[in-house]
Amino acid sequence: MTHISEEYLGGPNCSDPGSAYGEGKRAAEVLCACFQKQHGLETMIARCFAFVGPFLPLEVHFAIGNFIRDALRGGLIRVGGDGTPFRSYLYAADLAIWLWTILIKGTPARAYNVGSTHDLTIAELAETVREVVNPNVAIEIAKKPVAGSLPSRYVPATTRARTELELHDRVELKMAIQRTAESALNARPNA
Amino acid sequence: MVGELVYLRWSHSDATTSTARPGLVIAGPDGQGDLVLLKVTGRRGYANAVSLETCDLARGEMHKPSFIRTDRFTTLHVSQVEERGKGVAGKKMAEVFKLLACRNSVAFSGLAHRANRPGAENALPFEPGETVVPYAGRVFTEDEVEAAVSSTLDFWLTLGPEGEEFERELAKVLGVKRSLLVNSGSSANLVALSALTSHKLGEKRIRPGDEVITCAAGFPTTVAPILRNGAVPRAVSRRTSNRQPDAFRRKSASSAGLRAVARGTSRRAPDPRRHARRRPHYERIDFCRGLPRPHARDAGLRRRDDPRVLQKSVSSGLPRVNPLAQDLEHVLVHTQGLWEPIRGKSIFVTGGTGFFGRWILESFVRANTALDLGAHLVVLSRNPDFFRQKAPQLSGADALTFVKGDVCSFTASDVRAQLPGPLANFGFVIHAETESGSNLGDVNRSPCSIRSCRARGARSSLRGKPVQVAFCSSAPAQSTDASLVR
Repeated sequence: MTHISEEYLGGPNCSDPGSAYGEGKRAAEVLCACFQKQHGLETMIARCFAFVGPFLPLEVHFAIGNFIRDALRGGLIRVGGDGTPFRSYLYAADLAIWLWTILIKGTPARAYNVGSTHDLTIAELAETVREVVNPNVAIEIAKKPVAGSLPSRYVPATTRARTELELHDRVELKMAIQRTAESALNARPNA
Repeated sequence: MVGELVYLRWSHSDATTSTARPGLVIAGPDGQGDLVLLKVTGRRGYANAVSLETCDLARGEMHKPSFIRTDRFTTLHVSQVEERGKGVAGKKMAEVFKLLACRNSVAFSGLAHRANRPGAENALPFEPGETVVPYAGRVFTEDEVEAAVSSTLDFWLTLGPEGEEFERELAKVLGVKRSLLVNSGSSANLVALSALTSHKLGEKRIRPGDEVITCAAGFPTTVAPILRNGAVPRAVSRRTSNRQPDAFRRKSASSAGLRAVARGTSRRAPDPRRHARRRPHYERIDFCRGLPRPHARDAGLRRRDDPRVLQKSVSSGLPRVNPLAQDLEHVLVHTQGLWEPIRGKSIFVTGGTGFFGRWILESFVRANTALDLGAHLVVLSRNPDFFRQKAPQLSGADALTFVKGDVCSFTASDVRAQLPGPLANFGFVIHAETESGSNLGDVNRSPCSIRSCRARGARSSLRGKPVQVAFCSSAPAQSTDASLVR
């Protein structure tokens, strides 16, 4: 399975403290379902994956933001891991389209994956950022891949959003990176 | 023999008598044994002469200081040399050759560049169909060509002592503190416009989304720096009748986020300082691509209507164009027909000030304005004042109201207390808040608080009786662990 669908029933390890974020969201989804049953509250659920665009904080734990920051600084793009995990990124303007459409046209208590299906590895992502933002910088990958291990994947299947709500990934990744970088360049203190 | 200082029979101008005199060999002997020499004299005061002393010799010594006359040539057969033994050092020879090259350059330029010297004594008369008229004012004289050749011979191709001297002189001519040389007029435009974005200018500076009015017939590199700095160029043409830029006559331009003005440079164009009196914080900053001709200045004439002179004025306190305009247009196009259900409704948003929130707010304001929806967004924020600083144009939007509160603890009555009645009756709720701003694996952040905050945040948002709720869940609600996925 390369793309996680809404139907997938696997879950986080519930005895790992690192799962708190995911478990919080699971609990919240249950609450949404309960409120709907008990009070008739119509709740749309958007399961959001990874995104890129203006206002994305570049200094926190998002790899794509860190890479863009590194490329803009002109030093070295640092990949913290081994570069093998697969990710995909939806552009923020597309995200806005998806969220408003799910809120207004979605089916209540039916989760919709929100994200891009165009997957690439973190190493390929670093290379794409380099190419778009600053071809003069080098890429440093901190760890060597462990032979034989399966790369992690965080990539949605978005068939549901595409077929039921006609939502598409319209802005391609290179353009998305470029606009994010331009926006970061234009952001001035106090602006 | 090049570089040798020799004695030879130097014919007098009547060609009948001759004297033994020193000469410097600059070429030869060639196949016929001919030498080209420059006359060397002990007399001072000749133009185009290079001094020669013992220290300039590689071999032999001078009895007295002499001068090499670079404009007195002779050609003689090698057999006529009467005395040899002295050699001029390479450095002095280079000086001689440089002077020769520069003098030849002056002669060349005087003949070749006459078209670039309108009004000069030796300028060619204009002949219809024959004379080439340069498209823009490349006006220069032999002096500039000579200086350029001299720099080329030194091979000092970047800013050197002569460039620094030029900067000082130019600053003096312009009456300014200092000037800065760049490699081209296009670079000057880029540097000048970028300088206008400096935070040192405070409120006067150009920021992304500001409008800069520039002339419609400008050079592309006048527009490029405006775009490069995220500002929006607005091209205007001048009216032929009174030569005033149209923009000054159109109210729409002045109300559409005007921030900078490239004046049409006509003397009769309205002075932006006049507008300054009507608009607070209106500041004028000038820069130009051309200089007035010195004689015009000396004669006390006004600055000429040089079309290359570009003047910029900066104002503030006016609405600015959103730098996201293109993206928000994209959202609007692909949400066509979607928005009717929210017409006139009040929408409550948590997490409205983060990455997701900014996009929800921006796209809402755009759609609300474009489609005249009359809807309203109530945004919960722990620190509305901080957000007002971060996004001044958004926080000023009429369709947004910020209420202070924490998503983990706020109550419906808290929110209602901060709102006028109709707004507190929510048709929709968007719960986009999340406690994930920092590293999720960070032990300093309590996972318990993350989990309970999400769940409680969702519960707080779900209270009350809105019609529809959007909950921004995320994929960790399933799994990100490959071993489980497979």
